[in-house]
Amino acid sequence: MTARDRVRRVQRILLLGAATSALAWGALAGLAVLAIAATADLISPLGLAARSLLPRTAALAALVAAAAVVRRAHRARQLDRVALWIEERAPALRYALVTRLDLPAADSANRPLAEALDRQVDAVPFEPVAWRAARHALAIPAAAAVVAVLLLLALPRGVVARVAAPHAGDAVARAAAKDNALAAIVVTVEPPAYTGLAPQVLDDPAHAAGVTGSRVRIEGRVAGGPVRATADTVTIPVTTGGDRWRAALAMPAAPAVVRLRQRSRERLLLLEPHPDSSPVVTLVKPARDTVLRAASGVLPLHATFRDDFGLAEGWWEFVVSSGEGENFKFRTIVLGRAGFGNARSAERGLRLRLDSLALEPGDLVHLRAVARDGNTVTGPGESGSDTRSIRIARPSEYDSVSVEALPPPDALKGLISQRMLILLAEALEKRRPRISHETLVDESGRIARDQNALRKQVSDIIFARLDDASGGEESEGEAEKRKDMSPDELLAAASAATDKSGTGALDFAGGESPVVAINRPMLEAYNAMWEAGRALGIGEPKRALPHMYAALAAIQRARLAERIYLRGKPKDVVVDLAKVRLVGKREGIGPAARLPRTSEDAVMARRAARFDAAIERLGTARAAAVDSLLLLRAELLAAAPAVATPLGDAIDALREGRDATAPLVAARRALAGAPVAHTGLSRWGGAR
Amino acid sequence: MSAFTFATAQYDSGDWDSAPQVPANVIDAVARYTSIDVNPAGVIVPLASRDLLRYPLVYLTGHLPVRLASAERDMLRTYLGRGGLLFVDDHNHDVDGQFHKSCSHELARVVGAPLRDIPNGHALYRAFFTFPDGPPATSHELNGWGDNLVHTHLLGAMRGDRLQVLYSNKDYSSEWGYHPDNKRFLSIDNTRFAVNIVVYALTR
Repeated sequence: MTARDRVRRVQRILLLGAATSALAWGALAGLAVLAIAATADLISPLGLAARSLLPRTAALAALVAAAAVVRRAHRARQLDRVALWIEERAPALRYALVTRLDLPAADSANRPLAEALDRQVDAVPFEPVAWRAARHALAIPAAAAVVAVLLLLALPRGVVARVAAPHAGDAVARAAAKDNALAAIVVTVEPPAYTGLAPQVLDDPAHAAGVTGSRVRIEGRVAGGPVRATADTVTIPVTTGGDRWRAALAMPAAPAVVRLRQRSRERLLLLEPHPDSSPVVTLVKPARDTVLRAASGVLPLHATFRDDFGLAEGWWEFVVSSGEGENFKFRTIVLGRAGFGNARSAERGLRLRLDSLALEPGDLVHLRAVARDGNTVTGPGESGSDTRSIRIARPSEYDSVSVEALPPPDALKGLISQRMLILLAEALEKRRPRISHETLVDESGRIARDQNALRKQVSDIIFARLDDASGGEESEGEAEKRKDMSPDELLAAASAATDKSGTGALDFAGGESPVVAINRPMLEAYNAMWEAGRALGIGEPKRALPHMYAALAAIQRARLAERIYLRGKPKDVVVDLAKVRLVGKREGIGPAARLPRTSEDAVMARRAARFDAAIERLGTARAAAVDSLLLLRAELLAAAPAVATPLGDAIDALREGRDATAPLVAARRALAGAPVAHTGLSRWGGAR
Repeated sequence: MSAFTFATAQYDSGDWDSAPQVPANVIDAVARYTSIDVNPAGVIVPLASRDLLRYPLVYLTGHLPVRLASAERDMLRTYLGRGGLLFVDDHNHDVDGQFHKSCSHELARVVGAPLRDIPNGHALYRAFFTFPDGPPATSHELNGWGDNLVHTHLLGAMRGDRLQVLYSNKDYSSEWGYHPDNKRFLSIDNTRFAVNIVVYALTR
């Protein structure tokens, strides 16, 4: 074996030593990271997020350590550096090795020198030096790694797994606190199968949320005495298997606090149910209620359906109400029932032939779309869309639904005639300079007769209403007499007739009699027509015209007057309180105290006080304060979700030792509420 | 402190105004037996209106199916959440009738749970007059009209320890549907139970 071969051999030994050393240092670094983390976790539990980084951190540390060792050993890859390394550790070589390697192999002139150097190198056994060095490089990290392994083995069961392979639910893998089975718990929330959601595992939670009906499993390590569990007043059975205790219950419909007790210890777990919402059904067509004259034709229906987890089936529901007053008959008809295949949203349409419902006049159809979800645990949830009503009109109601043109009412006929008379009078006045006085009086007299005829028509309109109200008690002679009445006489007669009716059913402002109030514009027209007729009768159309204009304006006002028909409105009964106050018999009145109810604001004020008391307790009894906040949150989840959310964040932060100032401030602000003024339920002082 | 005002709920579907005499009769009874400051006339309040929140007790009745619009449902839920009491009476007095079926279904949707029997020892029956046997029977029940049953319990929904919905199949709407002046013809005033409902709404 030549000197070069021997150096190559040493090189291989050194490289082997460096590689094993790198492995050992890498292993040591990784194990050290895990051992330190496990020890820290043993002293104070690390969160899952922090622990999730540890495997990668350990691997990185191992790589860095190994790389550092390999980098230091890179000189061993060069043969001359290896030779120098040997020369350094074997002084007996006297640089013969380095010199021999430097000699060119094919140079015959150096052969004697080469042979001398070979002899000198052969005389020195330097391989053991390399072996010693390799062993030395391996010894320290290997020993340290063994120590780290021993330390990890010495740690309690499960602790290493928590840092080496962290996962949700390994909170109970830590060593149980002495005699405290409630120190760490794991809660598994398994949603119902129909939701298709994955189970959720929570480490050491203060609250657990899930769909109503989910299976909630609580697990802890056995230590000390037995564990008892209650939710509100219901006892939850606790079983023990191996080193674990377990309790299971279904997620309730309302927020509930599970109390875990062991001797004097107590731990709270707030269960926050998320209800499975009923399907949301929106009826798109028909868009509004309607009244039909005939129950025939095709009615297009369209609806959309949505659900949070899945729709099972849907259908159209029709309730047909027949009858009136107190006598109604009902038919319920279901059409188009079909499954949705657990889809989360769907649309459905139907073309409804109204003839198929066999509707009669007066029938009322309430139609809606209905859907059912796939909830097999707490459901199924069923909900319907808004209801549309389709009514088939009775023949007697046609006046309210007909759009046929009507002839002009009497008042309108009067209006037309008055305009014509005005035009005739204006034309006559324009012609006045060109015609004789006799012609003027003659034509003016004809207009006056028409004006008087019109006045009588107006009079008939006025008294026709009054005749209706008075039940036709006016005699025929009185009607004849009325035609020639002066305006003052007419008004007096109208008022007298009103007094005669005496029903008191009508109420008018300002103490006016009904006939005056109702017919005031028409009476003004009547009055003006009277004056106009008199002026026209003596051949004075110019004097008549202002009265004719006034009559026209009055008729116009009458035409535009608001008409209110009180059809169908029940009579309002106003109780005479002064008359009936405390006149009832006092028998049978119970002795119970009757105090005014507390206002909603008082409830919130009490909650705010509880919140403040818990915050004050944080400094002295942190765990108790957190429990108080947890109980407050249980109440607020339904009553004030806006407060419950930041309060939950604050509880989590407090339990994990983080700064909870921001969520606590948010919760307090939400609890106080915005300073808004609103109308509340009326308060009342008490009854005697 | 405002006076108590009896409010009748107006809803889009059905015949909400089928018992127009009931408000006056209840008001009369409240004045007749208590010193509660009460308005002499009732009001009609749309179920979807925010005005609903002004009245601690709201009366709802009808014969026809009740289908609440979403706005009505939301406002009613808000109203009950704010502490209001909804008194519903089935004017059909028929547990198989459409009013009962549709209205109880709608109310269950609003309160999130089906209506349940109210025990006859409930505080409602001692709120003012004492009714040891629970809700007083109506002449309509005793005469065998409607569903031919004498209902032994009223239904309701609780919110905590107080009633938020009181539901009757006994047809008090017909029983109390007369002019209050006619009370003088009755040997026992049949509207006394209405006083209990009003006092309960104001004190619990």
